Amino acid sequence: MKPAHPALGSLLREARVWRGPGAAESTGRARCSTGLQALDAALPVPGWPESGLVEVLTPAAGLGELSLILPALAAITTADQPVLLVAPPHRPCVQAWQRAGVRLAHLHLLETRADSACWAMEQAQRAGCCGAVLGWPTAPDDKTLRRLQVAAEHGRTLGFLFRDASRARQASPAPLRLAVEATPAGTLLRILKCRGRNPPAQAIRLRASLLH
Amino acid sequence: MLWAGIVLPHLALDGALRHQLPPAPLSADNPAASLCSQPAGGSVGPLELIAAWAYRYSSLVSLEDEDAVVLEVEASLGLFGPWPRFRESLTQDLKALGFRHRIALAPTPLAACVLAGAGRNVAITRDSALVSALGSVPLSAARLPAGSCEGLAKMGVHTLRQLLALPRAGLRRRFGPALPHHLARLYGECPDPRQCYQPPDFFAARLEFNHELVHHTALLFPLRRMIEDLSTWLGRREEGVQRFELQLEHANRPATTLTIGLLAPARDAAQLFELCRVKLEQTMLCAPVQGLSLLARDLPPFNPAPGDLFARACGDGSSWEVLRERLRARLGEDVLFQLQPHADARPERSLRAVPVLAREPASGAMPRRPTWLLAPPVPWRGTVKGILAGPERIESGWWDEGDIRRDYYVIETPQGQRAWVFRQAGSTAADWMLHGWFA
Repeated sequence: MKPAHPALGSLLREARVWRGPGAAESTGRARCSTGLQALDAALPVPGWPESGLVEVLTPAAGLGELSLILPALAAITTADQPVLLVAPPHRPCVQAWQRAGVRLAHLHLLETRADSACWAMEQAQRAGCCGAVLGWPTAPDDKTLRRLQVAAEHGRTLGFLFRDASRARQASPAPLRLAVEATPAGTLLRILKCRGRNPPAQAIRLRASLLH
Repeated sequence: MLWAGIVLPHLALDGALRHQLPPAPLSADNPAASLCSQPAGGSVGPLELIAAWAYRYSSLVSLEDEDAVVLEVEASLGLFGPWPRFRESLTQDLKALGFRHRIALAPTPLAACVLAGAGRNVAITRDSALVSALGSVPLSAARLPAGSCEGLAKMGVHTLRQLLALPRAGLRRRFGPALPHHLARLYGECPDPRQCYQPPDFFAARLEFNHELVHHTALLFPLRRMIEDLSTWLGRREEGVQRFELQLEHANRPATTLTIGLLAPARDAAQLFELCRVKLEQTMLCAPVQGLSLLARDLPPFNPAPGDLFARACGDGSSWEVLRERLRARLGEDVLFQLQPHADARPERSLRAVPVLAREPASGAMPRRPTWLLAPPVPWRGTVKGILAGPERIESGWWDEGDIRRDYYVIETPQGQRAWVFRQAGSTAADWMLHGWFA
């Protein structure tokens, strides 16, 4: 359907106005598939957004939060775009990353003090040369989050921000917020917020427990 | 060949004064002063600076006496010409550099200098026109060998036309062989081989301030000019700079040296300036700065990265190389690295941090490994819900003191976390060590 007014058209294309389920199907483009069919279907665009900040909230390490991102990193590094990890909590075991398809020649690590992490992440996103920037800053405040989001939009970069699940209730300017939840049956992924669509009430299964 | 002679009449005088007067004050109102920066070492004067400048127009640049530079321009006319336009660009540059000058064009280098020195604003392109053009030049301006000018004046010879009319054999007898040889070179009757200027293989620039600078910001202006000079210089040589030194000179104190090292050669003035600025901001000035010098010796060839014609410029449009240097300059030289898999069974030694990974490492066949590796392993105090895989025995390193004998397991915790843990081989106690997360 062709919108009646050009200004309205651009507004709808940018998916800044929620139009109810089904209305925003064809707006925008996805950077790459998330690798999870259920997540692709639940997002306003079928896959990770082209740019912007994606918040991943996890209660603890080892719940599958990285395997959620690895297919995207594989796609981005295969396209010869650099990926920068800012202040990661541990060293990546690159053999596993390589097995997931990540090209190590485009994987860069920045090990810095936590207070410089936000600055570095903002710079990397703003520069516009990185395919994706992953950051583990300590407790960024609301202003910092907004700066990161603006930088990601400005540089048309995909930024993944890993934070503690206790921050889920805090308001955030990130267009996409995902919470990883640990349950006895396995790990679930809940979409807390996604711009352009109402977040689905159903959580998505990220990883099933093998012992349940 | 056609030669442009550039005479700088005040240079000899300036040279004498330079020893007594402080250098020109450096400020935003007097930008040319920074361009007259004297290269480090002190022996190189403004004439060498002019020669270095002239080298961008011609490969044959020669110094004449103490106040003139000649450059061969016929070969360069195709690029910079025709002559009136060429001359205009020379004049513009010299004005920007702050030198008073006179320029003339002639078929021989000596004639070009003589005509310029005599204030003849002429462009002579044919040998036949040279005799008449030089005719009225007074002998005092003809750069004759020392002593001969006075002798000729006593004989009533005052112009080159009169001198040319005299028999050469007689001149040789009276004034020695230098005078006829000089005339032959002047009129192009014999070859005039010259020592050509060769630019140095390193870049060095130095500035002295006539007042002490106490703030970083005051240093930025001269620094920017210096970096721009460096960038232009590198551009001419198809080179980039990988490491250079900035020295902040203090009174009665050793100079503060800032070393700027890059992972890959660069020559963009804006990028280099930003790196210097960040470095400078991180430095505490221990004393007021009296002088600034820049020395760049590590100058590898520079191959600009091929750009994509259809690439959309997004963000700041800075490349990964620029971003990388910006992060390193601000946060430290070794904070940014890449990881290379290393063929060692011990997990601790299976990763190597390298500044730049030259090519994609081959992926070896490995058993399942976690995505995060903890360094060093920590005791696992939590409970184990169940074992998903294992044991995987890793026993290695008896030869290099890094002996390990471990049984690795993939376990799941009650929270649903998947962990990579180990215990000593053969042990059955639950003294687990956590070594990685399957995140």
